[in-house]
Amino acid sequence: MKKLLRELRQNKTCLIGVLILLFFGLMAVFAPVLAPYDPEELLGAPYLKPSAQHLLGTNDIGQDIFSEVVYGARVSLAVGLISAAVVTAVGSVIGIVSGYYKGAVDKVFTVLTNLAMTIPSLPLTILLVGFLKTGMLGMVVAICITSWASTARVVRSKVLQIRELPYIKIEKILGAPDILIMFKHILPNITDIVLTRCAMSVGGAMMTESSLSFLGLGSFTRKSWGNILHFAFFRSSILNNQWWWYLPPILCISLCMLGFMLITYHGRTRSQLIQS
Amino acid sequence: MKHLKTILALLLALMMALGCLAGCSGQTGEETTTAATAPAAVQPQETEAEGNHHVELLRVGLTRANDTFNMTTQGGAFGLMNYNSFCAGLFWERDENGDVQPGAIESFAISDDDRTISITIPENLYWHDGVPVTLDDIQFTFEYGRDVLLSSSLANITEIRREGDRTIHITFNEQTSAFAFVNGQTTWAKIYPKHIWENVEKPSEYTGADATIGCGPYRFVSVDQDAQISYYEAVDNYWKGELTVDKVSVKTYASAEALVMALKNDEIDAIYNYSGPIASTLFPTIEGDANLDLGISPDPGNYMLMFGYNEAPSNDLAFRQAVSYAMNYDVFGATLYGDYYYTPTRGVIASPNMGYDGSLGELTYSPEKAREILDAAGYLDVDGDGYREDPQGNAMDVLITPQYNTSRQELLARLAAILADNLAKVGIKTTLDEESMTSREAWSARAENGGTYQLYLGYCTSGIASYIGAPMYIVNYTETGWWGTWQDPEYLDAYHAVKAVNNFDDYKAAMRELQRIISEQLPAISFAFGTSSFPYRTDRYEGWINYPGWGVINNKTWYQTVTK
Repeated sequence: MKKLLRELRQNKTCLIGVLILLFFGLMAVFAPVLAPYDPEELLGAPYLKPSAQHLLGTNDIGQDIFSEVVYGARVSLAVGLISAAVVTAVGSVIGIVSGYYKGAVDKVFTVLTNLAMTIPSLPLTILLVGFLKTGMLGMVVAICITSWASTARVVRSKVLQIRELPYIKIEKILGAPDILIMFKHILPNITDIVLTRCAMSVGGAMMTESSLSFLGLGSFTRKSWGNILHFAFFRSSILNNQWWWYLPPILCISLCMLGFMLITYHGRTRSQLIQS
Repeated sequence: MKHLKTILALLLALMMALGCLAGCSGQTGEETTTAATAPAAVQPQETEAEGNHHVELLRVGLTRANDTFNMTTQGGAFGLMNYNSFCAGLFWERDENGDVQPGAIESFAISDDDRTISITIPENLYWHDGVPVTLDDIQFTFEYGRDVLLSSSLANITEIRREGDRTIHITFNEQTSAFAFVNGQTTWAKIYPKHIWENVEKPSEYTGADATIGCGPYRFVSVDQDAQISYYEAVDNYWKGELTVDKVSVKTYASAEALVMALKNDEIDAIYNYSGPIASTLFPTIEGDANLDLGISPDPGNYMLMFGYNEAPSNDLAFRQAVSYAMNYDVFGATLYGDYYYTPTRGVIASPNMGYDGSLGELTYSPEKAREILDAAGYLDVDGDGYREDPQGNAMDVLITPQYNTSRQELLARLAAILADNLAKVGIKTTLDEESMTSREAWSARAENGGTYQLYLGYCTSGIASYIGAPMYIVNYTETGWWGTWQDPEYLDAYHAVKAVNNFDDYKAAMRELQRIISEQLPAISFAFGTSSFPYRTDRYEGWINYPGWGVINNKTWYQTVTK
């Protein structure tokens, strides 16, 4: 922990990223405390401009937009984190197995990975969301199916290097089980890459969730930033210059993405330093 | 090798340059043409040389794709435009008062026993390819509709008899009222050319160039699929009178927002969309522009909440009454119609429709009254979680099922959110049926094939509203083929009585009876009554007639619109 804090103090970019994510994380966790109103509750007049009573005004049916944005962090971050966890786990396992065994196993996984990477992910995700059950779970599954490939490829290439190192060869000669070598001796050495990919995946999944919700393919019952944006757009807030409705979710999505990007850059730099 | 790379790169660059040139050429993709030329200019001009006030090119904008050009279907922008007696010759059309008038026929009459329709065709009516329209075509239309298009409304024809060269009598059995048939078919029933369709076995799949031929005042000229615009020109010396609009272009836009912006930017002259007025959220964009008119008119159609009679608690009158008091009609009205709404009355039928009964009283918002009714009926919060249980003490989570409709999805979701909030405030827990909302199959399983919904959010289009309308949706689906679940004998009798009338006075009386029963039993509730808006430009043309719930693009546009 001390090491992590020291590292953060030394790297201002990463610190900013962490602070941004901490801000949104706290917002999601303490949404019921921070939000002045129930985001589903109709409070009266629609289209109210920002005021002390409604910090970001009200939407077309009189719901408090600030409360919507605060609660929206929960769905957006949850989809991002759950998807990223699954994507990273699946991608890492495939990458490690593929890189470690090489040969036929590697060829099969490489073909699968290449195939997955050639298909444009957003159209495929839209297609999958159309087929899967409506709601958050369907969206998470669709994102996972379409996003694991790049993690698998990066991890594989790193494992290909590590498996040739002497200590791994000695382990093999000593007859250590493959699973032990892969997950006890190789995995800890690619943690930086895995975590960096995970941070990237969270950002990517959040972006995908927002895109799908904006297109009306998300859940209509759960407030997410993409969902807020969807209704803002379809109820003509942009044409009517109701910036207080469409701008906050855009800013939240952008800031969150920035947070994950800054951490990702730090992770990359660190990996390159270790390599060099 | 190095030279080879250079040569390949140069070839690639050359191909790209040629591609750019091709892209810049006048050719804009696939074009289907049945006449000599498409209009060269997009900007409209007056034909001043002739000294008249003809509109040279009327530019209509809509959101339905320019993709289907087949007289026997209602698909695409072409099908939609034909509701306005455009290329198609309709048997009957409605005027601005909602009254039925002859369309491409000279006259029609209904026999006293309400079994026979007599149709007389004009002498000088021609198909767009120059072939005269004869009684052969009229007889063919009814037989083709019955035998090939399999129209259920034509299944009860018992006799088709000709009288001379211009009059034909169509007789139905006792299961079909001729009056009801004419009213039910107005706006949709087209005359088909026998010489084109008699050998076509699968009419909806036919894509021949002659599939667009009708006997309406305009003939199809061409379509630019890439630009999503189709062109039409007036038929010379059309029998029904002077056509003041010489050419028409119909352009498709991706959304209502794009349509409104196109209107503001003078790309189109008027917006048309069957039963799809622009959203009230777009009004501020139009209001204040001196060259635009919102095209406001009373909306005969309406959004409504239907109760499922196959499920509890929606089959309980006390529950339905409580829901009617729990609904905040001002919020629904403002969401649907902006400032242009008024509180609905208890009979579901909107006020512009024939037979509307305003004496039944307005629906009232009173959460206190709703709570009282629920308490008295035994819907109590037994476990103290803030939501009521049913009279047997079981947990209650009422499903809200919006109609599956991609273009109305957002609005229906908003209505569902308001309803959920209103009901939560009186202690009724609800869940949105998202699956039915986003999947046609799921919706069909829930609504059409079983009627297992509890609260159903639907709407009645302005076209359907013009005859029987909203009450039709309530009747059990085995009667109508829609998604109603109510089988109340008294209501069924009243419904059949409406379908059996043979004049408008009886129709109005029968409709009032239907509304009385609805107001007492509340099988459905309107969210709001209001106005519809089909905006148009006012700077260039005049003579627009705004049909209620329909707009300024209608069957009179072609004869009335002139330059200023």
